[in-house]
Amino acid sequence: MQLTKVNIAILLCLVTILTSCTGRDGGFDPTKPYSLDLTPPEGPYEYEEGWSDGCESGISVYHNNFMKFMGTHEFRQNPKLRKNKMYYRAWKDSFLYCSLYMETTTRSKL
Amino acid sequence: MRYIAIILVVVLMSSCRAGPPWKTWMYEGPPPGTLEKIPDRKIKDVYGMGNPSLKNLGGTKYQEILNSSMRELYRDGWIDGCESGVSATTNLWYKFQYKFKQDAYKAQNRVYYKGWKDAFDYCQRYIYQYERRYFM
Repeated sequence: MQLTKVNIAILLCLVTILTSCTGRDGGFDPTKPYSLDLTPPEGPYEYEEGWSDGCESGISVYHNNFMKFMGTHEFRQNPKLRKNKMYYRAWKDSFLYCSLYMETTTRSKL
Repeated sequence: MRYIAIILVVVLMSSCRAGPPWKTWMYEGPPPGTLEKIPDRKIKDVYGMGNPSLKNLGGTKYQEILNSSMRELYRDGWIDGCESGVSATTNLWYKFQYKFKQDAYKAQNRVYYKGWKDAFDYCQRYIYQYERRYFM
């Protein structure tokens, strides 16, 4: 197969785009909607932990079957903090928020 | 031909909506009449959730909350809760404009949290139905 200039340009573009995917720590994360920000609101440690764990669990509920099979997001709850009121309330709030977010994203029309 | 064009323009214009309904009031707090029923006095307990460890939280936030009245806290909670509720259930386009909002420190206050929860539940269901039905 002969590589034309156009093919080389397309290849270069693809390589550039793909190398910008840096995974889930700050970069592009294909396992969640792009607009969903997983950074918890600034607050005490228990609050931030609860928020992150709740959101992770909420996303896992409404993922498609492939993502569920791959286990990209799973139920998460810190057993040591479960009895902490602040942790648990943040967990509940973000669980509800993220699960609703995922549900509407999967069936949304623009 | 000209009449058809005029009719088409009229039909198209009559279907125009001035914008999403939540934009008009969500930033102003709960619907009129709701706030007036909440006492306009300073709160007694900043983190009145029955948890003594919360007393050490916040620093300047503690003072800020202490200086707020119950009415202000409820309104703040409402505004944040409504934005979060809208963000959770609106369509993909508006999801870029709204996000989860909750003040981690104020959320430990009973009045703020009640406003947040009330508005989250109300707004997310309101938008869910609005998106589902479109016209009727």
